[in-house]
Amino acid sequence: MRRLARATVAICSTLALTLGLAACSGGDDDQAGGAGDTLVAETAFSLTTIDPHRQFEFTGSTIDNAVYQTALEFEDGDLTKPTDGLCSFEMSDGDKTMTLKLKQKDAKFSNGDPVTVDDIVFSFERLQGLKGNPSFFLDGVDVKKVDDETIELKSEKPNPALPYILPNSSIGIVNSKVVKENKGTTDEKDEAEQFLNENSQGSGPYQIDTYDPDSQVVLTANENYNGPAPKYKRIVLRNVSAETQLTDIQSGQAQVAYDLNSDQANSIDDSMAQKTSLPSTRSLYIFNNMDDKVSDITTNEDFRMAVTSAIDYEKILELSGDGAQRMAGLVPNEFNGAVPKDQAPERDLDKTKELLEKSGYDGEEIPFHYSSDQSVNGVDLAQLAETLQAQLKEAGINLALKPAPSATQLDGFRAGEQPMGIGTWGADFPDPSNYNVFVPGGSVADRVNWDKDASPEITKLAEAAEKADEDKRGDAYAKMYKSLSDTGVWIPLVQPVDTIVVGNSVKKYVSNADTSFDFAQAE
Amino acid sequence: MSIGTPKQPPTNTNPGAEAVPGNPGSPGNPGNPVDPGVRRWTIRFPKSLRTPLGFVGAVILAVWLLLAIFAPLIAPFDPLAQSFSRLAPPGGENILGTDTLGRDVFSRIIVSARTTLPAAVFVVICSAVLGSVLGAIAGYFGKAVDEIIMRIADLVFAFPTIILAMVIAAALGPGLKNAIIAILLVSWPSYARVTRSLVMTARNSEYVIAGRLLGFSAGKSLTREIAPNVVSPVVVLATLDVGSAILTMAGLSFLSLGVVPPTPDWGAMISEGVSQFAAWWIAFFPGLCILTIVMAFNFIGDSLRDTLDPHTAQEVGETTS
Repeated sequence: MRRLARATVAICSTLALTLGLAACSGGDDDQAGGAGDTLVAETAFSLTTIDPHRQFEFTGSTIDNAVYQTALEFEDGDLTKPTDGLCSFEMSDGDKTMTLKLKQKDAKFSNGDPVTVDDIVFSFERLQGLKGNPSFFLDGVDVKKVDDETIELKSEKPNPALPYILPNSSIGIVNSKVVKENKGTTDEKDEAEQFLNENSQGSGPYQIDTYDPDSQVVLTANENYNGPAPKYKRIVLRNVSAETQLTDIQSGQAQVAYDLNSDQANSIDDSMAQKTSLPSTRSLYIFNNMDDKVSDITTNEDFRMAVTSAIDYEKILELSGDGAQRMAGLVPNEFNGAVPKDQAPERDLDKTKELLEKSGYDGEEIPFHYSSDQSVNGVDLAQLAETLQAQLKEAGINLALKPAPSATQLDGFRAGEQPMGIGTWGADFPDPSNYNVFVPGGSVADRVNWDKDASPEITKLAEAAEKADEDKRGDAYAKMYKSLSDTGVWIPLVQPVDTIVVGNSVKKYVSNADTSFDFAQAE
Repeated sequence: MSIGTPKQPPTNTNPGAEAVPGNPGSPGNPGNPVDPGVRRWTIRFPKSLRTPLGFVGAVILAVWLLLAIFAPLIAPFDPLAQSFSRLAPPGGENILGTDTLGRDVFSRIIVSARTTLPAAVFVVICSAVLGSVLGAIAGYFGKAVDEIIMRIADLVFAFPTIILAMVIAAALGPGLKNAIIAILLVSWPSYARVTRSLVMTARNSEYVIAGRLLGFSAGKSLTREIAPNVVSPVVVLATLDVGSAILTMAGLSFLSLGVVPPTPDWGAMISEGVSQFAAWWIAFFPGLCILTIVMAFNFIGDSLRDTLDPHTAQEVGETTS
């Protein structure tokens, strides 16, 4: 009898506790689920700082896009046309001089101070002076204030890419007065990083409320923003894995998920969320080493072209998800200077056989390196490598997979020791000149030991593209990158797709290739 | 040979032998009817496994061994062929569905047993031998030798097994061979500890001392007199350890530090399934395989302990009752 009573008490108290917890978590759900004017967005953080002039990572750039305005912008995400932002611009002197005129005179920082030319000059100079990851954007550019409305940017060499560089969130405009008061300088002595992580000094639609690089960043609306006031007054950006994002979107705990792959996105019922596919600005390619000492077969052009025609590109597209695209060159299809994708190679096993015979390949195993822990816009490199291995095996080419954590793999790649493998490149700015590093003698070409004088023809085309006029630039670069693909040193595989899943409680939103999901325009 | 043996070496490890009536570990004959045919069959089944759990474990293990041995005949498709539609659910042509690359999950699971099982048994035998030899040396010779060996063992014990195995595997590079080395390096100390303590007890026994007085060398004393007392607990420990070796190997493969793709492996398959929650079959079935096989080894280990190591069984029984 007593035992029964004890059991009853135990069951009752467990029930009470469960109900109590459920009630509490229900309350949390409402809050976390973005009721009213809060929007919860989730991503797996790659975040070390949100000081605009230091950050160079995806999450940092997502935040800074919402917090800082830039001198120029890409209107509606069209990456081929930089347009006016805080300033209007004009190129002159054979693309050596850029003149910026302050356009948005009503722009105000979050503390109410107006944005001035001094702030813009300070921001550019701070970016250059910090010698941080994004400092290279303005390498060789001399910044000069002309008057209270005009800034002049002078480059030593023609710099037609500059209008494409300035919209980057790393070149956000900060409140110079406040940053200087908090130990901000335009050289390496700057100590304002911590201050800028906790107190945003931008003129964008949002400002920083709390910053925790491990768990979440909260933004609140900037009352002094000169554009239309955002509907969501509070943005909570949480650090969670893709798997959790999937369940959170389905349960309504989050409204935006950045990292779902195409399969995960497709598993969500349409009544719960909307899916946006944006072309990614990243390229996936196979590299072949050009040093005989590293591999005597990948240096053979017939062999490389045999690999090119042995790949089943359609299968790779299928693996990469809806919206992924073929690439005929390394430059993403939406950029100026991209090789038209209809020129991309197709699978042709007869051609492979013929080329393999010519190359003298005798079936030896070729070490094939890749980062086993890396996924690029939902394309898992390990799976991609396994697919390529199976496809090339059908054609008689044997790859020995060499997976490694990305840090280890990159070390080997940088040392130029890997005969073959998968490489990835994310655009720093949407201009073909950002891909010059793949031209013989460039910094990435060095990693496959492709020397400057290895291909005079390509070097000549590269020089011609650099000097081409604005209207002929795209074609000149496309021609050069096509000839680069024809060597087979780099075999472009796929341009993946950036899938953003948005919960159905968000009725209207804008997302584009420049700013990704735009918090300020979501309703 | 032995004078006043404090702890008799078990004499019932020999399958097929008649039960030793006086053995304290023997549960005794259950009093079967005297039909000679049935009796012979019953006796052939190892005595130590004649508990319900032991029997279940042995049956599961036997099924797995058969699956592994005859994998090429049983697996319906090439485990590497990416010839089906991606993420097809179980049923139809692919009874356990297909993975993200369109490979048959059932074939991959079966073939994976061929690498996992032998590798796990091999690594446990190696670490048992290595650990026991080092433990015996430490326990028998004592002093500096003991200090050196056991401090190294402590050093290994200081880290969680999987973390240390990860570090070693990451340093050596992925691959089955390196995973085996990594697990071997982290799993020998438990054998060394057990063996050392047993050897230290036996070392001072009268029969060992008597043997030494008769002029036995250290080697002879260790192998002829002490070893029989050490073998049973080590065998029990080893059987229980096969399960954890399988788990550690799966863990390393999960982290891409084990078997190199495209060779199928349970851990790697689970890792693939993690990003595909909707395609639950990718991770579920390999997980089930790991669960059953680890459970089987644990059941067998428990039963073996009950028979071979009655002292521990008694202690465990006392503390749990």
